[in-house]
Amino acid sequence: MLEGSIRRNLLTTLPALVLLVAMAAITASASPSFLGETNLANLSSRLLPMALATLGQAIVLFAGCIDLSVGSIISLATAVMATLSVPLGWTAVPVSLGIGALCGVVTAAGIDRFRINPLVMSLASAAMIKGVTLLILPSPGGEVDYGFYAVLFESERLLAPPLIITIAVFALATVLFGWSRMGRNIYGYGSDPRAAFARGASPQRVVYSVYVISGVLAAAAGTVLSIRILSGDPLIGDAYTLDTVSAAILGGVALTGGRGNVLGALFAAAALVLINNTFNLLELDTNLQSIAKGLIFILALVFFMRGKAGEA
Amino acid sequence: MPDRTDADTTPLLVVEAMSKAFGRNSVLKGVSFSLHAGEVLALVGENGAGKSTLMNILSGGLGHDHGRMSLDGAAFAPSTPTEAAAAGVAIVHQETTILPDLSVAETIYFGSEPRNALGLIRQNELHARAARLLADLGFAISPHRLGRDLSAAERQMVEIAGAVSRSPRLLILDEPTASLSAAAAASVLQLMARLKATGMAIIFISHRLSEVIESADRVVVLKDGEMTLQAVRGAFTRDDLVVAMVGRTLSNIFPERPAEVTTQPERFALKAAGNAGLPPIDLCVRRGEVLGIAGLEGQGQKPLADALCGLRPFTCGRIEIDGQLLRLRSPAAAIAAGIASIPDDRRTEGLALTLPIRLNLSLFALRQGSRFGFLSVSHEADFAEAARRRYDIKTVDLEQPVSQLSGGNQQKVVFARWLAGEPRLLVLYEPTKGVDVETESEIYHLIGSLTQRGVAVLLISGDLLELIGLSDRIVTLYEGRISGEIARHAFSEEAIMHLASGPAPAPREAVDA
Repeated sequence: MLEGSIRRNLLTTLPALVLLVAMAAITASASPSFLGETNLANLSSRLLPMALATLGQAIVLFAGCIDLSVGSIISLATAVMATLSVPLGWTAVPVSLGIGALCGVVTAAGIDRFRINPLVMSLASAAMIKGVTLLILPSPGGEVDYGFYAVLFESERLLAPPLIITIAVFALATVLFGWSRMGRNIYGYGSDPRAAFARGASPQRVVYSVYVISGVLAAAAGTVLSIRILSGDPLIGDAYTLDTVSAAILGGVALTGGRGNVLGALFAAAALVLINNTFNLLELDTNLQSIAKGLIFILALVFFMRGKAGEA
Repeated sequence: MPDRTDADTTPLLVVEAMSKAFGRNSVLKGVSFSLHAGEVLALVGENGAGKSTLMNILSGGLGHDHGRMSLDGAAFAPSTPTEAAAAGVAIVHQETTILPDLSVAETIYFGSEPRNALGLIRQNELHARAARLLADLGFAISPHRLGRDLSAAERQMVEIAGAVSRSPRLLILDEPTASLSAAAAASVLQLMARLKATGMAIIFISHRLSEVIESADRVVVLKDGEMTLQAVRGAFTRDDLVVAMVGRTLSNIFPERPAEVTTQPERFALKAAGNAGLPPIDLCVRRGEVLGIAGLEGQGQKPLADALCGLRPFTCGRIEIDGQLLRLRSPAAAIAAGIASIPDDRRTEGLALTLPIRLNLSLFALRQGSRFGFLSVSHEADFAEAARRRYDIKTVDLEQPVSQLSGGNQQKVVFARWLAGEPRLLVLYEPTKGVDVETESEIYHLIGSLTQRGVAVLLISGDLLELIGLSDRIVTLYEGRISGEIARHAFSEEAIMHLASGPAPAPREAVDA
């Protein structure tokens, strides 16, 4: 069941798992309340948006592409929720996810039809999406109906919606990207697009599906985020673009495509949430946090690229 | 036609008066042949003779203009590769389509994985199936290995396994042995014999005439799109093939080697030079000498070639050129010292495939033609035109991308570019891989004329005939070390293979046995 590339891809997640366990152990020993249920529940509600967005980014990276519009889509989704959740109620959620999918379609169309480099195309999408967001919601505000919060975040138990949703989404993604032909096609395409094409994979289908999945997941992350802060914020997603790439790389996903496992993305996203949490506990300046995150990104790249060069 | 023996059975494949033109350029002119189940047909011809076009028509990659094909008596005109595959025609292209991050089994069954009731891939069944297939074919490759870890020979085997897994009636192999060592090529030929015994018809393209003579039941020779010979086994000789391919007998394939080479001064020497991938090695080449470097596949040839061109530099020992110490730390240093090297993989290492021929020709000669660091366009054009004439590069337009040239002409571009700089040492690594016999001979004579100008040549090759024909001296590599040296008067295939297969010299009788 775990033969071939699946085994190798699971192995790539180990460094992230070790990092996560180590960070949890250090934090727990420094502050005993860390393992308390309230704190863990709080962390899992912080993890949910980060994990969703990182999953999307990882899937795009499997195909050898990159999505720099993740942050902008998150912000857009919060703006959409802040304007539509009160008039539309729960219907606002599918609308928000649909808009995320549409963003993915635009990026994929640029890459597929006009052969624009994925990095550049998603950067252009990011700029356009940000413009739309600022037109809808020029400054943080709006209102998200409290009913959403009550359903999603009110429980202080660990086994509550945030953790359940995270586990369900990642369980589904693990199966889909390990054992489905769609997943196999995406890995194959990311590994060598020309060879995968010659073996019958459709580049079009791969590019559209990864960007649409990433768009929907980023919108889901933004939706969840807006529910947690009960409002919208046109800039809240900005930090997520680098964070998701950083987490995916830390999780063992190759920047060059074709390798990695969704669980690595989950472990690394959790580790990053812990790091952010620690920074906040230490009352570290947000600018210093930004510098630290950049450093983590570089270290992750150096660590995993070194492994790669050794194999070649 | 010389064959009337099998007129009583219906052929599997009949190709009648097949023609194809690209614009006004006619590439196939009325080619007709037939092939029975359980037969091997070799398709032979120089680069650009129309072999690939014919194979692409058969496998659905290209349409045709005139002519008819039938498969098992039914009309056959596939318009896509999928249609051809459905009709039972499988093709293995020269360029492999291995997926580096998937396992061998996942690559072989990519897109047709066995699935369970939920539509999920049955990963264990997939690998077990591939293991059975590979074992049946006699390939010692684990289905669990990743594509990126496979050698060139193993990649080729996986490609063939993938094609065979679809149980085709007709299997087409485009130069299956071009990138393989002699031993690996022999195993592919044995496999063809086994597949043929199961009733499969096989068409293979090859430049290696000895394997054509050995393996083909039937041979078709193309020259400039016309069929110049069709014959059955035993009814043709090597010379017949060459005449049909080239249009004339090819004498003096190799240049004459002057005897006084052994007294020339030393041009280039390695003294205990090595690096992480290569144990310290000693060798020297004289002015005007061709030193052949023989060896089985993967005995250090690639690390040596990479070190000599500065790609993975030597880290210990001493390197001398014309008696002077040389620091060979990078490709730029190698070029500056007058070391030209022609890589084995011209497509990825030797050429900028999508750039015009003109730019590829002038890429390294730019220094001579530039003024204050800017290029002179007219100088560049003159240079490219001169190179085209001098090396007889067959193209009408120097502005075409170099990828559109045939393999032999691409190799001439690589040579022309490097030789513009008057090198002192020329390092050749499989210089005639995938090159037709006529171009091959042209390249050999080019090397001969270079040595007359004092250029020392290091010829790394797996082709024993080439080594024997061209070298003044041969050394053999075994596990990265030099396992023996043979002088020109003692050259023989047996002597080389003997030294190449291990350092300890066995008694003389063992060689003769």
